[in-house]
Amino acid sequence: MMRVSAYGTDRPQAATGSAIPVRALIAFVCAYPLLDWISYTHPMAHFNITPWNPQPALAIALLMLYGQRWLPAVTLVIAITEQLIRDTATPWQIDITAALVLGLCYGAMAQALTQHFRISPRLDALRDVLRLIGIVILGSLLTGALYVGTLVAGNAGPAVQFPEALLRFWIGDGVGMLVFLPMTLMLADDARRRQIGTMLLKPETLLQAASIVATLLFIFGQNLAEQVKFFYLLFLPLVWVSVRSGLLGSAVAALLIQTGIIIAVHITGQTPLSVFELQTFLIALTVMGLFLGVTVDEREQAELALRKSQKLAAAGQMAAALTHELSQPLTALANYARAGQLLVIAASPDRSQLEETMNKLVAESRRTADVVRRLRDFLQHGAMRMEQANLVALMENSVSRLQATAAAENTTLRCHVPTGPLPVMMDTLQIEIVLRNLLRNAIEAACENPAEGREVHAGITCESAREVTVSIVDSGRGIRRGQSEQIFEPFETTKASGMGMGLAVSRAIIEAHHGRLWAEDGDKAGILRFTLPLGDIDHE
Amino acid sequence: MSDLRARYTVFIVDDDLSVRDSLSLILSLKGFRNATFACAEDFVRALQPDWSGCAVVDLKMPGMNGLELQQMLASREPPLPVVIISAHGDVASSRLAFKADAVDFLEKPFDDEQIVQAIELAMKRLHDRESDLEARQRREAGLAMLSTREREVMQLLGEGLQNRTVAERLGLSPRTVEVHKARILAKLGIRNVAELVRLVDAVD
Repeated sequence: MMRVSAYGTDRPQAATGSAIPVRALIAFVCAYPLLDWISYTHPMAHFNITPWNPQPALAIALLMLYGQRWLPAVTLVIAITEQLIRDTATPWQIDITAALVLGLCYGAMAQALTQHFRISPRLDALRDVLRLIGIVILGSLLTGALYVGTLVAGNAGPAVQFPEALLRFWIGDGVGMLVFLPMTLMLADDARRRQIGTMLLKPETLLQAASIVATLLFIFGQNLAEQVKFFYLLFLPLVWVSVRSGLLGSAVAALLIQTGIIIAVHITGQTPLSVFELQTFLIALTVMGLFLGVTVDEREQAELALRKSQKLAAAGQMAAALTHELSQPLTALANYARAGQLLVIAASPDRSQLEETMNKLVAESRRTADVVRRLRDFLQHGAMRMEQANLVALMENSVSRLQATAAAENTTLRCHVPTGPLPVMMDTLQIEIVLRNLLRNAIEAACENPAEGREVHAGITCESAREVTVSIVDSGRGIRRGQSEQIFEPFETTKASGMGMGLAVSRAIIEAHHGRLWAEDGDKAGILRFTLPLGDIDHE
Repeated sequence: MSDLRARYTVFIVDDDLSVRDSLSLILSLKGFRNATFACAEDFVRALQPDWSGCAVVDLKMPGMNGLELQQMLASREPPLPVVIISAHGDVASSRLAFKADAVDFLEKPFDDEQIVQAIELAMKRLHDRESDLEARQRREAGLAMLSTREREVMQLLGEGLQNRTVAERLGLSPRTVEVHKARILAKLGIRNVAELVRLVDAVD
C-alpha cells in the first residue's frame, strides 16, 4: 500500500491509466475477496469450482484500466483470497501455482482486450462487445483448462473429473465475467457513469426492475423440475430493458437477474448441478442482452449523428440562399456608398442628390440587417418567416435560375404556371430551397436519358380552394415501385452521386408549412409533388 | 476613353431595384450614359436598331435570364457586348457566358472599379470593331472605283510580282503598270505595295 501511494504522489503526471488511484486499488483489494466469498456456493468437490465467479471480472478490469504493472499485486490478492476463503486441504505449492495460473490468465485476457483489440471501456461499438464476449468465452475455457489441469497434476482432484470440472469452471467464470466485466468497465467511464445515474432515476427503470423481480419470483415459485422450463421468461424483461436503455440497461439487468438467481438458489436450496444449468441459461441470456443493448446503442448514435448532419445540411442550404439574398443589398450598398463619396468630392452646391443617396444607403443597410436577422432566427430556432407571397413568381424565378444548369446538361426545363399571381402563406426562402432542390434533382434525373430526351416540367395546379399542388416531372428513369417513400430517407438516393439529403430537408420544410411532399411511382418519368395550404392558416 | 463614355450607352438589366438604381447612379457619376430595365423582356422590347453600347445583365431574372438575353443579343448587328453580373455565380453559368463571348462575369457584390473596367473593356471592343468596320468600308468603296484593268494589275501586284512581270503577263509596258499602280494606291487610300498585298489577302 505504501508503495502504491508513494508512486501515485511522486508521478501524478504519468501517462493516463498508469497512475492508479488509491481508491481503485482499495476497492479491488476489498471487493475481490468479498465477491469471492459471496459467490462461494455450491462448490464442486475437490476442485472448489463454484457456479458463479464474478471476481475475475474485477481483476481483468483493473489490469485493463491501469496496466499490467499491477499483475503481481492482483496475483497476490488472488492467492490470499484462495487461502482465506477456500478449503486449504491442498498443499500450499498447488495453491500458489493455481493462483499464479489465474493471475497470468487474467493478465493475458486484459492484455488481449486492451492491447490487441484496443477495446474502449465505454463499450459503445458492437465490434468491441463482440470481441469482449469472444475473449471472455475463450479465455475462461483456457483458464479453466490450466487451472483444473494444475489441480489434477498436483493430485488435488481426480483426473476422471477433469472434463466436468473444466465445464463447470468455464460456465462459472464465463458467466461471472460476462455479467460483471461490461458493468465494471462502464462504471470506470465518466460518461457511462452519468448515464447509469440518469437511467436509474427514470420511473421506467423501476418498473423494469420490478418486472425482473416478479419473473424471478414466478420462476422460483415453481417446483425444482419446472424452474428451468420457465427460465426463458426472463428474456422478456431483458429485451425490454435492452431496447430502452441499451448496453447499460442490459448489463444492469443481467446483474440483477444474476443476483436474484443466487439469492433464490440459496433460499430454495438447489443442487449444484441445477445451479450450473441455470447459469448456462444465464450465459445465453446475458450474451443476447449485450448484443441487443449495443445494437440499440449503435443505432441511437447513428441517429444522433444523422440528425446533426441533417440540421447542418438544412443550415448549409439556408446559408446558400441567404448568400444570394445578402449579395444584392451589399452590391447596392457599395454602389451608394461610392456614389456618396463621389458626390462629396464633387462638392456640388445641390445637396439633394447626396441626401437621397444617403437615404438609399440607410435603406439598403436595413435590408441587409433583415437578411442577417433571418439567418440568425433560422440558426437559433429554425424559425419560419411566414408571409403572403406569390408562388407563381417564385416558381418562375426558381426555374429561370436553373435554366443555365439545365442548358449545360442539354435539358429542356419548362414552367407551366397559372396566369396571374397566386398568393400563398409561406417562408419564401425555405420554399425556394425546396423548389431548387427538386428542380436540381429532376435535372440530374433527366440526364439519365440521351441528350435529345432530357426534359423537366415544373407546374402549379390549383384544383381545390384549400391547397395548391406543385409538380416537378422529369423524363428520367422514374422512381421504382416501392421506392417512393424510401427516397425521402436521408442518405437515400437514386442518383449515382450526391448524398440525397435534399429530399429529407425538403420534406421537413414542406411539412412545417402544413403541406405534403411525395413521390409517385412512374415508369418513364420521375414525379414529385408537394402541396401548400391556401388561405389563412395559423402556423404556430 | 471619356469620348467612348459619351459615345456609347450602358444598358443595365437587373430585376433588383436597388442594384439597378445604385449601379445607374454610380455609372452616371462616372460619366457613363445609361438606361435601366427591370427585366430582359423590357429591354428587348425597347431596344432600337441604332442604339449602340454595352449591356450589364443580371444572370438570374424571372422570365428570360441573363444568358438567354446574351444569346439573343449575340446575333444583333451592331453587336452589344454583355457584362454578366450575378449573386449566384456558378461555374456552369460562367462557362456558358464566356462561351457566348461575355466581356466579363462579375459576382455580386463587386467594386465600382471592377464594373467600370468591364464596361470600358466592352466599349473598347465595340470601338475597335467599329474602326475596323470603317476601314473596311473605305476599302470596299475604293475597290468599287477601280477599273477592270486596274483590278487585274492590283491582283498580280498583290501576289507579290514585280512591275516588269506584271507588265509581261498583261502585255502592257512597265510604264503603264506604274501608272495603274499609282492610281490604285490613290483610290484605295493606301501608301505602298506592302499594304496592297495585305489588302488583297484580306479580300481573298
